Amino acid sequence: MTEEMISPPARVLDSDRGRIGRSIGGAVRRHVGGNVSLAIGIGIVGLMVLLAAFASVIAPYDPLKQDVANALLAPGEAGHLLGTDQLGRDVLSRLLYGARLDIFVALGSVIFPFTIGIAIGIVAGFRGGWVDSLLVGVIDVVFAFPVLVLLIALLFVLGPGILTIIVAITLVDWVAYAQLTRTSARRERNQEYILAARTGGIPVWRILLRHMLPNIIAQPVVLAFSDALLIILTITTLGFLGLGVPPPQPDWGTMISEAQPYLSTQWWLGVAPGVAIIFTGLGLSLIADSLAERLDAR
Amino acid sequence: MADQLLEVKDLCVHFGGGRTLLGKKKVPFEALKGIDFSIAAGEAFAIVGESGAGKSTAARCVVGLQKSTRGEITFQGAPLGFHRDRDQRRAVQMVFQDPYSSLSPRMTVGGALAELLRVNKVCGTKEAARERAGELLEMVGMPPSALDQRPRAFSGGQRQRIGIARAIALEPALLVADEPVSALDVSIQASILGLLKRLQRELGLTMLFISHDLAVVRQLCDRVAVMCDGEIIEMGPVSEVLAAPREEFTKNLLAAATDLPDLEMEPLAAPPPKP
Amino acid sequence: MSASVNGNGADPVASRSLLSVRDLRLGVGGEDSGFEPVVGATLRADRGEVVGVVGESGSGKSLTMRAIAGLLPPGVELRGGAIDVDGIDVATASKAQLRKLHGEKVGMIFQEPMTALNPTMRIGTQIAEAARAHHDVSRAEAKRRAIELLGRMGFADPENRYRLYPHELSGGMRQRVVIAIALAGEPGLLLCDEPTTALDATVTMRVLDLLVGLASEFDIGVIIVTHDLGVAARICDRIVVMYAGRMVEEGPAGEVLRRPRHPYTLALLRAVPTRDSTIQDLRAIPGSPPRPGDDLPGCPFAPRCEFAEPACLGPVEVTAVGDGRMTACRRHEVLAGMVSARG
Repeated sequence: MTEEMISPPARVLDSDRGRIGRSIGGAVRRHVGGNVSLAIGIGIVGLMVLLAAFASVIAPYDPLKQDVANALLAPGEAGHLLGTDQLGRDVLSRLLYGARLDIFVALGSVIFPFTIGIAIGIVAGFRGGWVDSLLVGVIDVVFAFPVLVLLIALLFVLGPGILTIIVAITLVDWVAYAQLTRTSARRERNQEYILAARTGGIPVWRILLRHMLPNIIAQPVVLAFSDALLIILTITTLGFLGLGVPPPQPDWGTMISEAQPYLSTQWWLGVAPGVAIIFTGLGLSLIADSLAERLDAR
Repeated sequence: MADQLLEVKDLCVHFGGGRTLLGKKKVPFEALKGIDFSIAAGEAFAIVGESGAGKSTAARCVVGLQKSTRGEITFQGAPLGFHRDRDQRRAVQMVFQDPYSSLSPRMTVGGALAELLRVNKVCGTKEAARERAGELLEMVGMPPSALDQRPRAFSGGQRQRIGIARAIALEPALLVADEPVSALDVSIQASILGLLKRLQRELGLTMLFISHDLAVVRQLCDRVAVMCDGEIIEMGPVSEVLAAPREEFTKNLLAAATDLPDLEMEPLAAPPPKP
Repeated sequence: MSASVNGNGADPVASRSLLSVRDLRLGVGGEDSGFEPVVGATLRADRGEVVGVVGESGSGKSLTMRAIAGLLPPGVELRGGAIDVDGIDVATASKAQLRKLHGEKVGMIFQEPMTALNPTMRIGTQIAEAARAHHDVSRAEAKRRAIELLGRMGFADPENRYRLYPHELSGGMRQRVVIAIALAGEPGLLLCDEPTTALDATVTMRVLDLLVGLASEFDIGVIIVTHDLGVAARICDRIVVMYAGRMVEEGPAGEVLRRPRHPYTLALLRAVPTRDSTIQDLRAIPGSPPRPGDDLPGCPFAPRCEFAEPACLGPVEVTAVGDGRMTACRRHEVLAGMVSARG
């Protein structure tokens, strides 16, 4: 009851996130069942991670090597499976290296907020008192800003670059995990097994890590997967706005952005990274949704 | 009274006092309005009352889960505060009400017991802790195979046995039991009460028993305090208080106890052998 | 009020019988992979009667109630038997008939009063709304009925209490509001699932006495599901004992509680502390209740039963043993022989 009253805007936004991240996955799951959809999701994401990890081995060309003589080749021409862009760079190679970059950034942008948010949320929820009130205040303030606007502002302050993107997303995103964890921790701290551990003299860090965390980690994990999808979309949005990964590094958003003038003539330049984003997003969405479904069933 | 194991004097707990952001004083809820009682070593003392009477709050103060607003608790002649050292903590342990939530769901029974034993330096090594955990389970009538299972695998009664094993693991002098059978099926309650009674005798435990069930108190306890609205209104030997209550509230409580008509069945001489 | 309730389908020639459940079987999961939490519940209730359904967790008592009310949780299906509530066959009822069932034929009360009430609505409005949902009455008339019901539930000054919100009431008062809502549609049958488990002993007594009063005053059938034999002893005319999804014994309350004809009932009575017993008198029932999905050939209680013989693993038959009593124990004569001379 009290949790719901403390920060209504945060809750609304939070459930929205979960829903957006899960909606596509949910549609698939209803057709093929939870286990199959989880397997497909893991398969897709695993494939993308593998492709990204071994980009340097698989990629047929140097993604940065320009060859203006062979610019804007159609797919299949002159050994370029997906053609070349306006500077003659191999699209397939750029796609693979772009995957590496985007997945790396997404991973960082999930892991840091995930860890920091859970740590702060669990301590605040367990301790209560002024620590908790402070956290609730911070959460409300951060949630009150539109996320993208806040991100863009931070990027202007910190200057563009991969690390900046991760730092900026972390600064905004940890509150989602903190809020989720705090609510669970407040619920769990009055459970008798926590009281029993306290009476038994188990140190607080141990209670939080060994007794409480395993029982509340599920929801943040689901959020992480649906969030990863949103972060990839955010990165590509930033890239499209010219605030993402600085050129000439390939990333999917920048690729779509650069392909814009050629959409009517060389449509594959934009479609190829677009498909890659949708494909990865589908995988993440499938995982997030079937995990959530499993946890709900319990 | 030197032979008292636990003495509680003028214990008060207020919830939600303090001031609002604008400096307005908030009216606190007085869960305990200054209660006094003492428990002699080896005694089984009961606190009875209805929900909200403050009996659980009193129990939580005694085990150190709740800060008191005022008053003092003396244990074995020394003051017992909210912050306790290891020995003080070990000496007062608790059996909880709900066996479905009182065991750590993701830990094996043996793992949780061993952690408790090692953190409190009862056992030095992993092996010793595991062995001791097995012995504890045996004491409460659970097979050693339970060590490697999670709480999910057990029924309510079995879980409460595990909860009791945890409470006696640190060899406490005082065992606080907060409604230990009220969440259990009727057919299981008797066996848990019997187990508590046996352990009390064998381990020489002193017990503080919180209950709303007068029949259970009558079975298990020597003295009883009746609580109402944060105060103890009547206290004395169980046989006296429950047979001849002085206070109107206690009389109502007794009248509300749902008693069964007497069974008109001969007791079995000896149960016939099982097929 | 009382006249209008009596008028609800009260045909002077109609039988007093209100509810009959025969050999109810409920299943979970597929026909071959799932299990059956209820495998033979038989139950009846007449007008003006208070029936106690007694059993421990897992006995199937709550699911049986939900089946009667046509409110089975998703995943649970009716696999056999018949439920007849005042002329409606619940198993084959149409949507329209089910709507009629809820509220007009059957009112239901659950364990936790707070979750049954809307926290943002005045209690009187909630009762009036329930009255309007089932009967074509004006707002003013519904309000008048709600106030009347509140008064009947023991609220002093019902005109003013009408305007209170649920959080302003104590647990016992909330449960009275829930009962008033259940009665607003003027049902003939009131199903109460552990109505007093969340309440204190002194409050429990008052709510129970209220229910008994309602049964005779409004001439409705009241079924109380409880795990507390004391509750059943205090208010029930008849008791049905359930174990592992089956009806094991049924009969007049005094008879069943004093001279049980099923070993489970006897064991349960011996396990409960009473005024005069000491802890040495208490006999815990050995073993634990079967878990859902356990394979139980024959009598489900046989593995824990002191009277069991090999034949108990064979098919179980429910036998009438006089005085309107039924038992599912084939050795009921042994128990009959144990009745002490003074009884």
